[in-house]
Amino acid sequence: MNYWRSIGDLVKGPGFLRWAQDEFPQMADELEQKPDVPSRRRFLQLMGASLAMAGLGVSGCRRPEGKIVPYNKKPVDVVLGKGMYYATTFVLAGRAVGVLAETHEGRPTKIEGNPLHPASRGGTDLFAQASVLDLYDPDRSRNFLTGKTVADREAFVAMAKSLAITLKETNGKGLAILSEDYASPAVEMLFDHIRKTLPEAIICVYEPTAGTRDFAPVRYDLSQADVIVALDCDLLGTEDEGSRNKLAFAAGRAVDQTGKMNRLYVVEPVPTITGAAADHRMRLPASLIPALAQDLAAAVAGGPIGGPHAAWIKTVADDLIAAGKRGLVVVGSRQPGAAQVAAGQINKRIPLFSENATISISTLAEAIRGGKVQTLLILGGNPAFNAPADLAMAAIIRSVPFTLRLGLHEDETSAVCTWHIPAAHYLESWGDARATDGTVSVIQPMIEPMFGGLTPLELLARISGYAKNDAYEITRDSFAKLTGLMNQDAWQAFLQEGVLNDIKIPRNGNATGNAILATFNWESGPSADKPEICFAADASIFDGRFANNGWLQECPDPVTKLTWDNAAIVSSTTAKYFKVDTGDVIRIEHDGRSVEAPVYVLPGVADWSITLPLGYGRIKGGTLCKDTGFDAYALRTTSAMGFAVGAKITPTGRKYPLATTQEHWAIDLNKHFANVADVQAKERALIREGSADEYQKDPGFAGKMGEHAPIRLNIYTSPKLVGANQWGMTIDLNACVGCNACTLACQAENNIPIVGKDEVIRGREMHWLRLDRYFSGDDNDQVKVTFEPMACQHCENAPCEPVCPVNATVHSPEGLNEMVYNRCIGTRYCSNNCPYKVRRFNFFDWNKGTIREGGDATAATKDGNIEPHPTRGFSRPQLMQPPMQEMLKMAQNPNVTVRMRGVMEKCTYCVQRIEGAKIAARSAVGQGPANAIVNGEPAVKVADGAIMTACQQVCPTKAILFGDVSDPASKVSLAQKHPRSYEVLEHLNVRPRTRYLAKIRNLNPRLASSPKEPSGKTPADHL
Amino acid sequence: MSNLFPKNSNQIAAALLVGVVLLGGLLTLGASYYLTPKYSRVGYTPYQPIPYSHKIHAGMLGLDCTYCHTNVKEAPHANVPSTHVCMNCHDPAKGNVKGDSPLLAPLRDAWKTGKAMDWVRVHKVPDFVYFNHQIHVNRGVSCVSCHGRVDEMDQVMHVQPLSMSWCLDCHRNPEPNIRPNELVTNLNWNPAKDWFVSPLSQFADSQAVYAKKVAHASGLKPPTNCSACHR
Repeated sequence: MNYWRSIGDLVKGPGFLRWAQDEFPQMADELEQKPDVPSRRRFLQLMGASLAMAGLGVSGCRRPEGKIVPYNKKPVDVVLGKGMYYATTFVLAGRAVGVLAETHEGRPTKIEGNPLHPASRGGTDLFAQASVLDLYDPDRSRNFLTGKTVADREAFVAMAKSLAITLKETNGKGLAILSEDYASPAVEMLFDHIRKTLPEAIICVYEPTAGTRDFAPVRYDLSQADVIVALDCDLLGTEDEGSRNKLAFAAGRAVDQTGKMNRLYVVEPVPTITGAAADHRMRLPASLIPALAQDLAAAVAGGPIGGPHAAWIKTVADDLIAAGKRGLVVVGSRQPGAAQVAAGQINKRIPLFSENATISISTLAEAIRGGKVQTLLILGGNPAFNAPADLAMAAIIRSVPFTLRLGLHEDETSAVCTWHIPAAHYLESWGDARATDGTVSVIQPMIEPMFGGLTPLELLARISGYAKNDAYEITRDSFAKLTGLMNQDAWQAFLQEGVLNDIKIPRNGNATGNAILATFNWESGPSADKPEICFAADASIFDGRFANNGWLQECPDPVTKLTWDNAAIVSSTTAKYFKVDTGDVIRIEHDGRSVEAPVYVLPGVADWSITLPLGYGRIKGGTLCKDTGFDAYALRTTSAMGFAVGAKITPTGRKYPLATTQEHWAIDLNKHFANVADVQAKERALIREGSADEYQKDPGFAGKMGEHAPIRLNIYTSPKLVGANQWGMTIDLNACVGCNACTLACQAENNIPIVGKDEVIRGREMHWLRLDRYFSGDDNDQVKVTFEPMACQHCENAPCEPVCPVNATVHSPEGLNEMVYNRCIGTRYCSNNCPYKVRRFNFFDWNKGTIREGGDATAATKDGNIEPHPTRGFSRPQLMQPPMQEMLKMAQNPNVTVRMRGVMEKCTYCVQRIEGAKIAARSAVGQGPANAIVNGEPAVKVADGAIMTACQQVCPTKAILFGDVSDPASKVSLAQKHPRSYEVLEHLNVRPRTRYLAKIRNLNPRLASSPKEPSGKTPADHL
Repeated sequence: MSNLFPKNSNQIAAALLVGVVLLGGLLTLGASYYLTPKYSRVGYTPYQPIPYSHKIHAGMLGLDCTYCHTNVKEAPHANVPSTHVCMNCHDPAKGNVKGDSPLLAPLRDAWKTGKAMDWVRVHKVPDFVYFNHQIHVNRGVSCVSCHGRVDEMDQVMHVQPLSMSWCLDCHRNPEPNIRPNELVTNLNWNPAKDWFVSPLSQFADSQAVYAKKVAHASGLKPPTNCSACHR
């Protein structure tokens, strides 16, 4: 089967060949810089001159005087230089994930999952990983503001006090609270307190991606399902509890342990990671999915069905019937009630129409318009930016006489409020949170609020006249209320474990009333003259709340591989019809509103459906979030929160550069040069996958694919691998869902810098662990998406080593391919010689610079120094000034070198964690007897499982195993000997220490498409 | 045609060659002495804000190293004690040892204001070196091996070069620096003279024999690969 990275790869376009043939296509020219920053040549001249000057005297040889500043009173548990881990909880849009925050001398640096929390069991997602950078965001709000003037805390306290008195007198009349979903029992407790003491107050909870809230969220457990049908639901990605779902889904596919696999059918308009994980995926416009859901319900009930996809639906229905109680249909939050009810009929669990105690944002807007609100309290969120466009929320908020806003950034909403109050980051807060299954976990601070920010608890308590003002006290009250326990021991245990596992009180979705269901049929779909627009939470910056987070902005979208931007994602048919291609800007009009957006052509998108990721196009709230992408919220109205049919598309004729990494670091270049191209490409088999049947017939099928090294000989002497432990890794492609969490975990753990959009376009992104996304199948309908995490393979015959002129990359006796930064002189030969393309070069002092200070891809510039590039048409980056902000330094891992310009770097298998574990094991042995015999000599071995690499730790599906491959009983050894395991590029005889386990798709024999079955179309049909 | 250059100009080339070789040799010699840590680091004895004497505290009073450097056995850093530790004895309200000494005024100020002391750093390896105290003291390498007789110093002096080759010398042949774990902080202990005072002397005739046995039994093979120290 042919796998391809992009349409350019499929048709072997010139753009792709540029990436494939040149190791460093980005080297075409020297980077222009501001006049006061020396260019590289000037820098070399200056350096030569200063060296000559230095030679005149030896006076500069002494190092400058350094200082040691100890604690005045050292906190009891602090051990300098050792990380400490505290349990806390990361909440995203009402979803709580228990985490452990690693702190160094009181400064949080890394988030790990809390193994005791059922929503994660130790895994987390990319948002939790990147949240630590949000804490140190230099653009965070630092001041209390009234209008634009800075107020002091006392002024705020006095204001809150008088406000509380006024509200008390009026029973809360005229007060409205608009809050994001904190999923917090303590916040609920204060809401209840407000309902009691200020009964006239209006409380509204708004999450832009939570769907219509017509129905109480349906809880489901993927591990209990054999047949899963996801209808427009990215259940492994941005919807529902991603971490919990990924774990449960992978558990249901652990074919080696359980002997069986679940089967996932996905129907969706645009490929998501859920669609990529599907055994059978159908592309369908979102507006036809209710019709499909109704037909599916009818088919399961045994009724006759018609429509264009009747055969497919019948097959799926039969599978669901066969699975009985272990069949599950999940419908995405952007789907209307009709689809939810149809799914409920199949699941025999009709979703409840949800009449929550809180009102919807449109009701609130109406109340404000009716002059019923004099005081508006906005907790978190960013309604002025992300509320439905028809509400004109910014103007509405401005019309309220007194508005108070609690926010992490001074953003669009702060700009229209009378008061802005800096919020405390969750790593600075006391609080609690409840997962959907009712597990309550604690939020405890790692650090004092750096800018005196407040938590929502403190703010609510102050204005509602709650007996206590302190978030800690309020959290304890909430804990006592939940558990009935007042004693210190129970509280201490809660803080220590972070989780209350004995008491589960699911969130109230108590529901009454009847939903009014719109009707859908197969005629309600889009067509060329009335295309459909779909709104989706972005896989990187979610609903826009992470838009100022550089790690997430630069994290390639799992499917499009876009960084720093969103785009209107369309199929090739749609693009051809409108005569546009990737990068062409189109105007999208709907319901009297319009946005302009660059097109991105992606295989596997439903025709006439245009997906618009939300959250980009911010205008306030930091330096990074501005000028990235377009604002899809501008088209999103109360009547079209999920999707709408009947948009108008007009090409503008303009171009917009998009930074997609899909063609960067392409492996297996030979296939583009050899005449026997396709034959060879097939034989390399970077990705190996088979159906469940094939696997059952021949468990070792993966080993028979691809080309093998003829003789395992070596032309030069390999270093002796005599270490007590021999490190190796396996990555199970059958478990990997491509969620990007590993990429972000690696970035956080290893101090990996971001480079900015323009540098990404040059192919200089620095991620040590990239997630290769391959398409396969030659047709838009049958396209399959497969992910392959790719980092340094730690080859035993590492091709990078013999070509280094200064021995900066060498082998350790434990099988690590080591990169020695202080030796590296930046020849980049190693990267040229790396077949896996996993080495990254520091073209600049990324860690010193601020990315995109005023830099922008197309817009005019502030200072006129940015000019369109003569050949590529985008602007020059603004790097290396001003100096890196002190705050960002605090996010760095103290155990990993911060690399400088001119140095090569790559995955180290988290050598700092390896060395830490070795030191712990050897210190424990001390002078006592060693714990193992290696090569006939006593030696100290690290126990299996004592080391978890950052990517392994974060992985929600436990796809990555790391350990000692010389220990036959270690988990990684067993996995490496597994029949599904294979080496990528085995024929090169480089003997990688990372092995992959082949992917299995549990195909339904009744559905024709199989991963091995090519379609009749030629590649050119796509363009 | 007359000669363009006089005959004796032939010697200039030879003289130049000799000169260049001599000069180059001198430069090499000079650089290899003056530009190495052996010269540039050893002997560094900065003044501290308080003339704290290790000689009095560790030598004469016999305080164990770990009384102040509490975390050295469990952490990468041998922590400098917090003001609190000093004030256990020197607090006028507590032990009142030299409680009114003007030399200790910075310490009392720090205690009062909460703003910690700035000590001058003596030993420092480059930023890309991740030296770890824990493993060394737990495997029987004494403080004295790297820091010298601190118990005899009024002002702490840098006595070893702490260069990479110096580290590697020991990593390649650690045994001369291995002693019983309980003697690691005993800087006055002389393996040659004092071996038979050691409670472990019943197991081995000399430190050398002991070190060899211990190194073998405990699998002591100090790493010499790059990432052991550079990450």
